[in-house]
Amino acid sequence: MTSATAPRRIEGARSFDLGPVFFIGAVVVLGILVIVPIGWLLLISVQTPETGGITFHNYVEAFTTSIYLRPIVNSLILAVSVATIAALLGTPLAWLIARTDLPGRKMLRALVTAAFVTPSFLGAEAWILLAAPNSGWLNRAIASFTHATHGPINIFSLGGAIFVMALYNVPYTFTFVASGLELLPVELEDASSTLGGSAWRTMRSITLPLVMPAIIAGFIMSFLEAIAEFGTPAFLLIPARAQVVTTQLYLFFQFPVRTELAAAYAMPLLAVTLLLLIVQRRILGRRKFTMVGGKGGRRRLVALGKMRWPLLAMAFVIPLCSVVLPYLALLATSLSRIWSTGPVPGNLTLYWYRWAIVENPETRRAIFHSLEYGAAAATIATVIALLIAYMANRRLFPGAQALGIVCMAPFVVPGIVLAIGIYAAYSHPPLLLYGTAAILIIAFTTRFLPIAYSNLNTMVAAINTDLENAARTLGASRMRALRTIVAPLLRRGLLASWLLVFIPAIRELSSAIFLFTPRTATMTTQIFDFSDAGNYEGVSTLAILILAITLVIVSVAYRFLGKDFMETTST
Amino acid sequence: MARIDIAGLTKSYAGRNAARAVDGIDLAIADGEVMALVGPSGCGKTTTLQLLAGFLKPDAGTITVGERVVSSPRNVVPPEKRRMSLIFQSYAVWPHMTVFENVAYGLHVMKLSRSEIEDRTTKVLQTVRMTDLAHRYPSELSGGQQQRVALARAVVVNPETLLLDEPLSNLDANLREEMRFEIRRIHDTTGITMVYVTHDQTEAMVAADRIALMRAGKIAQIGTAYDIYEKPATAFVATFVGGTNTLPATLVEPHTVEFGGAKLKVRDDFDPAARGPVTLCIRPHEIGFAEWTGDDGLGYRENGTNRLAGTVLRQTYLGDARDYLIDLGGTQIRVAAPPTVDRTVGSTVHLDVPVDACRIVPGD
Repeated sequence: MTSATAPRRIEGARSFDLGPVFFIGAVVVLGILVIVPIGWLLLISVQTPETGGITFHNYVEAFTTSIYLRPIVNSLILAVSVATIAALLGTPLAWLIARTDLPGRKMLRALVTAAFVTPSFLGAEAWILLAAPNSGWLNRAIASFTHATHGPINIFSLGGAIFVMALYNVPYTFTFVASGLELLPVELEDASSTLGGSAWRTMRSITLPLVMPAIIAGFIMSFLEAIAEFGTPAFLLIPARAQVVTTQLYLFFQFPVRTELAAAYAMPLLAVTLLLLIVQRRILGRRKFTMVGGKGGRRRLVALGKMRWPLLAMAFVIPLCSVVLPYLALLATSLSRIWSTGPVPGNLTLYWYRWAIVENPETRRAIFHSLEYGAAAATIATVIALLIAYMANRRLFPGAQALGIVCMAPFVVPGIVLAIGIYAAYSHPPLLLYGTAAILIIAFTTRFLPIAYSNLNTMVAAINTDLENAARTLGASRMRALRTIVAPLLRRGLLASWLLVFIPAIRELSSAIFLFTPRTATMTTQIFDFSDAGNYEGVSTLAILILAITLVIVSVAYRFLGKDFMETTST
Repeated sequence: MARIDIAGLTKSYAGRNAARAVDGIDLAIADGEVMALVGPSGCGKTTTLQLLAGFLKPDAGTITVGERVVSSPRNVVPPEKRRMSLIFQSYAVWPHMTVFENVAYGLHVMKLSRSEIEDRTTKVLQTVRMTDLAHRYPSELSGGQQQRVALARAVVVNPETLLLDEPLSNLDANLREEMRFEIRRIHDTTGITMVYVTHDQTEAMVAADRIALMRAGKIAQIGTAYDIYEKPATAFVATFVGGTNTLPATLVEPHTVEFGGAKLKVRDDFDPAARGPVTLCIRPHEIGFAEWTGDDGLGYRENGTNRLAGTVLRQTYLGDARDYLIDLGGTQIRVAAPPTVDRTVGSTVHLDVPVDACRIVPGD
C-alpha cells in the first residue's frame, strides 16, 4: 500500500492545488457580502436596541401604529397600479413591434430599450420639470393656453408617481412578451389557421394563452420594482406628504435612527419579493414548449393596412413620455442658466457642465465616486461569480452548489432592505465600515452579484467539460486549463457581466441613500440632495451625465457583445 | 375531396440571392391520391407545400382545387378557408391544451355542437390509439404520441386535402416505420387526397401512390415508385433514388454504348439525333464478380451480360454484403457483392452486368 501511494504524494506536492484556497476565499467573501447583512437584518428585527434581548416589540410597533400602516396601503396601490398599467401598455406594444408591419418598429424598439436603461427616478426628476404644478413647462404651456392660473397636472401625487413608474416599467412586459412572441414557433399559429381559425380566433386561443406566462412574469417584475423603488416616490411623494413603505423606511433613518424598527418594517417587502419570484418561476416553468426540430418557419408579419399610421401614433406616445420629453427636459435644463426661464437664447449655457465637472468639488468627487465604486463592485462581483459558477458547475467541492444559491440570494432582497442589513451589520465594530467607500462597494457588489452570477453560470454551463478535459489529457493542470481554455471562451461573458454590474451600480440610489456620508456621496445621492434643495440645473446636469455614460457603454457593448447581452440575464 | 392542379407555380424569396425556390412547376394530383414531394434539402418541396397551404403567395402560376383557383399572384385564399389540414414537421401540438383540446380545436372553430365535438374527437382518438392519454398535456407525451395527436387533429375536421411536411423526420427508426403504415392506413380508410413532403425515398415509396422528385425548384420526374426506380429520367433521379454508379459513355449504335474502349449493350435507346455522350447508370448490387478469363472477351457477350475489367481499390465487410470500390481505368465503380465474395485489394477482377441493369440517361 505504502509503496503504491508514495509516488502519488510526491506528484501532488509538486503541483500544489490552489482550489481549496479559492473555495475558502469565496466562502469568506460571500459571508461578508450576503450572509452577514441578511443575518443582521433578521437579527436586529427581533432585538431591543438597548439590551440586545430578543423581542417582538419591533414588529408590533411597526404593524400596529396607524401612521405606519397608511404607507403599506399606498405601496400596494402604487405597485398594483404600476404593474397593471405597464402590462396593459407593454403587451400590445410588444405585439405591434414583434408581429406587425407597423412603420418605425426599429425606432420604437430602440426607444423602449432607452427607457429600459433610464432609471425611473431620473424620469421622475424630468417630469417635475415638465409637470410641477406651477412651474412645470407642460403646465405653464397649458395654463397660458387656457388662461388659468394653475396648470392642470400635479406630478407630486400618487397618480403622478404611478404615471412615471408605469412608463419605466413598460419595458419589462414588453421584453418578456416580445421575446415570447419571437420564440413562439410559427407553426403553432399556422396549425390553427389550417384548421379554419380566423386571425382573431388564433390570437385569442393560441397566441395570447401561450404568451400569458410572459405577461404575468412582466406584471410580477413591475410589481416588485414598484414596491421596492425608492427614488421616484422620494422625489414625487415626500413633497406630497404621501408615504410609501420605502420612503417610510427612509424616515426611520432620520434622527433618531430606528434601525430595528426599519428592519421589522422591511420584512413584508422581503417576503412579498420572495413569494412572487417563486410564483413567477412556477408560471414560467410550467407547460414548456415541447417543439422538436421545427424549421422555425418564415414569420409573416400581420398587415395593419390603414391602421398603420394611427397605431404608430398611439404606440409612440409611450416612448414620447418615457424618453423623448424627459430627455429633452433634462437636456434643456442642464443647458439653461436658470431652468424656469426655459431654453431660450441668452439663457443657454454650458456653465452647469463646467460647474459639475470642474468647479464644484462636491459634484466632481461624486462623479469620481460613482465610477470608482461601480468599477470596484463590477470587478469583485465578476471574479466571485466566475469562481463560484465554475466550482458549482464542475462540482469541485461538496457544497459548491450551495454557494451558487447564496450568490443568487440577493436577487430576492430589495436594494433598500439590503441597505438596512448592511447598515446594521457594518455600522459598529468589529467591522466598522459606515462612512467608508467599502460599505457602498459592498452594497453595490451584493445587489448586483446575482446578475453576474446567473450570466456567468449560463456561460460556464455552456462550455462542454470535454474541452477542458482535452487540455488535461494533454498534460495541462486544472488551473492551466481554466486559464487557457475556459477563460478565453468566457471573455465575452466576463465583459458582459462586468458591464451588467457596472451600469446599474452607477445609477444605484435606493441602497446608496442609506449608506453614504458627505465624504462618500455619489452622483445619485448628489441628485437627491440637489433635488431636495431645488437645484434642478444641478440635478439635470448630473442626470444627463449618468445617461450619457450609460448610453455610451450600452452602445459600445451592443457593438462588441451583440444585441442580446442585456436580455440574457433579465429573466 | 378534390383534385389539385398546380400550373406554372413560381416563388422566389426576397433577398440578395433571389434564386427561385419554386421554379415553374406543373403537377396534377388526382382526387384521393397520395403524392409525395421528394428531394434533397433546398429543392423547393417545403415551399411548394407552403404555397399549397396558402401561407405564401405565388409570384406566378396557379393552384386549383376542384374548380376553384385558390392561389394566384393576384389572390390567395387564406389557409383557414382552404379546407386543407397540415401536419407540421414539429407537430405544432399546442402546449397549453390537452390532447383532447388540441384535437377538438378545429371542431370548435366549425361551431359544432358540444356532443358532436365530443363524439368525433373521441372517435378519432380511438383511431390513432390515444384514448387513454386524452387528458395529458403535450409535454407529457413522447414524440410518437405527439405525432398521433397532430395526425388526429388534422384529420378530425374532414379536410379535402391533408398536407404533410416531413412528418416522420423527428421520430426514431422503429416508430417511423410504424407511422408510415399508420398514415397509409388513414388514407386508405378516409380516401383523402394527401401531399406528402419528405427527403426520405423509402418513406415516399411506402406512403405514396406517385412520387414527384424535385431538384432546384423544378420537378425532375413524376411517376410511381416503380417508374422512378426502374426508369430514371436523369442521373440525378437514379442517384437520389436507390443510389447508382454513373459512368460517362457514348451512345454509338442502337442499344449500344462505348465505355472504356469496349462496346456494351444497354437496355435503353435514344433517337438517332440524340446519339453522343450519355451517362451509363448501373446500380451497385446489380454487378457481379466473374472468374478471371484473361483480357479478351471484354464488353458485350452472347450470354446477355456485359463484362468489365478493373482493380480492387478497397473492400469493406458489412456483414450482409461486401462493399467494393473498383477502378475501371480512370473511373471508379461501387459494387455490392455477397459477403462470401472476397477479393484482395490490388487484384484484377472481372465484373459482369446484365444488359437489363445497364440504363442510360442523357447528359455527360
